[in-house]
Amino acid sequence: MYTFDQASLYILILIPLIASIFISLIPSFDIESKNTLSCFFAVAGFCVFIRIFYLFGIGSKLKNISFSFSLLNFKIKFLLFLNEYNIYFFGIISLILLLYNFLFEISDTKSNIHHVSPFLLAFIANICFGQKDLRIALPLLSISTFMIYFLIGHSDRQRKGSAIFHMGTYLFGIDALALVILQLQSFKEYIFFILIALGILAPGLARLCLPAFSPFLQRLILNVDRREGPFIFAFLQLVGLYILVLAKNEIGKNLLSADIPLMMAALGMLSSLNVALISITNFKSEVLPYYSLCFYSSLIPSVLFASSEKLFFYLTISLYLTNIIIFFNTTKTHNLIYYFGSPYEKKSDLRAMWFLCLSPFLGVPGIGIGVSLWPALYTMATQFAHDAHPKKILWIAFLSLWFLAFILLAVALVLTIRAEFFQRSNMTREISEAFKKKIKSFFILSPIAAVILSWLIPFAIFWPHKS
Amino acid sequence: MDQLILLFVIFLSLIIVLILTSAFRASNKAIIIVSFLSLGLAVINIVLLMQKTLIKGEAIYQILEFSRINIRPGILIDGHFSVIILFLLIGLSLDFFQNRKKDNNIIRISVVQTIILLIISVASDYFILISIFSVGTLISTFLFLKNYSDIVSDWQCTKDFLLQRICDAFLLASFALLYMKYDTMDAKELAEFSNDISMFPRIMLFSALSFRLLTASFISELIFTHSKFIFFCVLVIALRLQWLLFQQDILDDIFFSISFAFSLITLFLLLIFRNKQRPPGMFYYFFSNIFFVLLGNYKILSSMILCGMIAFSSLFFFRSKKKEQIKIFPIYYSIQQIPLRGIYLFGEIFSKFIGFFYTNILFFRAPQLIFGIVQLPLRFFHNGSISRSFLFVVLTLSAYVYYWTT
Repeated sequence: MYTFDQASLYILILIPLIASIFISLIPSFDIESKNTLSCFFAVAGFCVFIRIFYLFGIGSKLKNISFSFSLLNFKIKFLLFLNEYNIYFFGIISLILLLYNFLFEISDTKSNIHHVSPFLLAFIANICFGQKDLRIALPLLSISTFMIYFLIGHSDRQRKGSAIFHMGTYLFGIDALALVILQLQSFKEYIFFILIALGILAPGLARLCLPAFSPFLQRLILNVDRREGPFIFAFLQLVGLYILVLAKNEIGKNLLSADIPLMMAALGMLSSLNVALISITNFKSEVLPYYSLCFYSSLIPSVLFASSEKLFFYLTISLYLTNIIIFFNTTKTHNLIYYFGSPYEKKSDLRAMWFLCLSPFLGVPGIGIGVSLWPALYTMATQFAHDAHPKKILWIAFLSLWFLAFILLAVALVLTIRAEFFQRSNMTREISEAFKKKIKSFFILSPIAAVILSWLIPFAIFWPHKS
Repeated sequence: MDQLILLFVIFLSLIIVLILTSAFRASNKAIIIVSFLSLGLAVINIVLLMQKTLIKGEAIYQILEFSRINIRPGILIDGHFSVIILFLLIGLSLDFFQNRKKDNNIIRISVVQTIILLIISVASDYFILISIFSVGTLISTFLFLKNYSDIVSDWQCTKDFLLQRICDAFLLASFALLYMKYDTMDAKELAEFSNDISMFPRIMLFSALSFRLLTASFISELIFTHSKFIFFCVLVIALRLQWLLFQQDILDDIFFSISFAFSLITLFLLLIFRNKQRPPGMFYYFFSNIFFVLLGNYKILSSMILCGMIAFSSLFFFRSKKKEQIKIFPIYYSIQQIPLRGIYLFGEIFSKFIGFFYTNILFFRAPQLIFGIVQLPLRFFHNGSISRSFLFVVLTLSAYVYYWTT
């Protein structure tokens, strides 16, 4: 007989599956029940994770999941591991589900897919996060993107078909290539080694470093539904990050002898410059949160691959998590303005609030993304820019170019305050005073909550590590 | 530990003023009395603190270590700190006295800024210091956007904010240079290495600070509390950096040149925008120059005072003239246009990024002036313009002083 603590990992994995079964049983027009149920399961999942994290932090050993069943001659063995790396991924996916279900209310009465698929995706992600081998995780993750195509296909955007086609062919091709390369024996020549490493890393980079690696970025950003986009992006990037972590183990000890850290930095820098240039020419408040998300996450691979030390992994996770939380906050605020018009009579108030909402994304040190960003950058700089390092100049060049891109993005973000978006919100609806007040309080509280969360995240991530 | 208690009382009294001014109108007499009482309490406390730290020399330095990354929140209370806070509190009382019947917002903003400055001046770690500084600029921009969009346009507010972001990035990068080498950003710990620190980071830091002051002095004139805030922040940072900036004798000349260059830039900017009123920013810039001098470099003193004189007098002088008379280089204007075409093209591209105001300075006015300076000696001989002769005299004098002191 299991106690709760022993079974908690099973519960964490299976809660999304149970949730998706229950939600799909509810008739599709009963939105209230579906929302309530999804909120309940999201909260339950997160609570279970907190218990697991606590147990992990105080050092008690959790059982790995393993069970097998056979059907005729077909034998399936199911193994899930929990270690100091993937516990954060379980946590992040449950946190994303929680935030998504509370912040973005979906009101589609035609089908259940919009409510069910986040949970189903989370379940698949949970299964993959328990794997140690990229050869098992990658096919599963690759198949899970089909559900994202369904999600995009069920939205009412005009060019959703082309977005699905571009993204689908690209991701599928890259995944297949990586799987083929993984079967090859490793070459001893340096150049082949680098090429193979890049091939293995490509699926992760394609999901995480969206702009430099994926030609489908702009089409995707413009064609996802406003309420589902945040989850899709958060999921894609989380999966990409996990693939990178697994690939880092796969490439192994040769990592530092090769120039892979430098290449990662170069790619990240290119990606950031790309995003910054796109956003400075096209600073619509609608797409800017997406651009900023991609901008900061393109730094993630270079931080992760900077060294084989564990510290860099924690910095990466902290950066990713902060980024996602601020992104959710910004998109939610934008949605509120878009769907309900301005809750403020004075335009200046709305602009000030939009500035407050964007401020965590500005990379100001000590607030929002800056809490994780600057320590990560400084730690990276100490690793590579010291006098003895042979490639010092290149590293400093990449960092300074990244810096330039960073300033450009800040300019683009601040320029949206002057944009005309607030005057031409056509979808303004008649809303009651009580609801207006609710929105206003959200406008003030949510940036504060995002800032406080960004301060808490590093503490939470470093907590088990310290004990 | 008495110092910490005194500090806490100051903090508490400021919070009380903040709450009172945000909850009630400041024209209410009871509110005025209570606010003044708490401000008075703060002043008494700071005088006591001054007595302890400045006269008896009992500085406090405490540090908290909690993570593997070398960013350590620490508290450092010394003599400089209490003097700054005393001035700040006096400034705040004046603000309160001036605006008590007109405007609650300005009082609230300056109280918020004072609280932020109080926290900045006790932080010992540079990373935390700059973090709070940036958060402060963010909060005050938000408050200005919210309360003063009738007077100050959104465009002006955001433009200033963007410029500050660039300055902050510059300052952070120069600190990064130190951090890479010594793996710490704590003021006390860096002081131990101060003899080993090479020239480049020192110069970077000094020019970053000068740049910060320069931009602060040209922040839109209506947001005068903002430039005061930035001025005091830079003052705190420079005080913490004093041992790092002015220790080697070799550096004196370099710093002198940097300050001189910045003063000249200020002067030129003043000439360009002579029709606009920018006294508050100029005032703070002038005082900040004197402050740099007080930090220990007497060679800068001469240049600073001269440049200040030039700036103020020319400001006064040019404002009284008509627009046609004060065109400095009218004859060569058309010849100048030819090599400037390319620069103008870049200017037009850049005006999309950084706005027309700063592009104007960078690509339109500055090249014009530089070309003008080349022609300067020629122009002095055959023109009876009193302003130009005045400029000539002052420039030759300052050049002579420079030659004489070196």
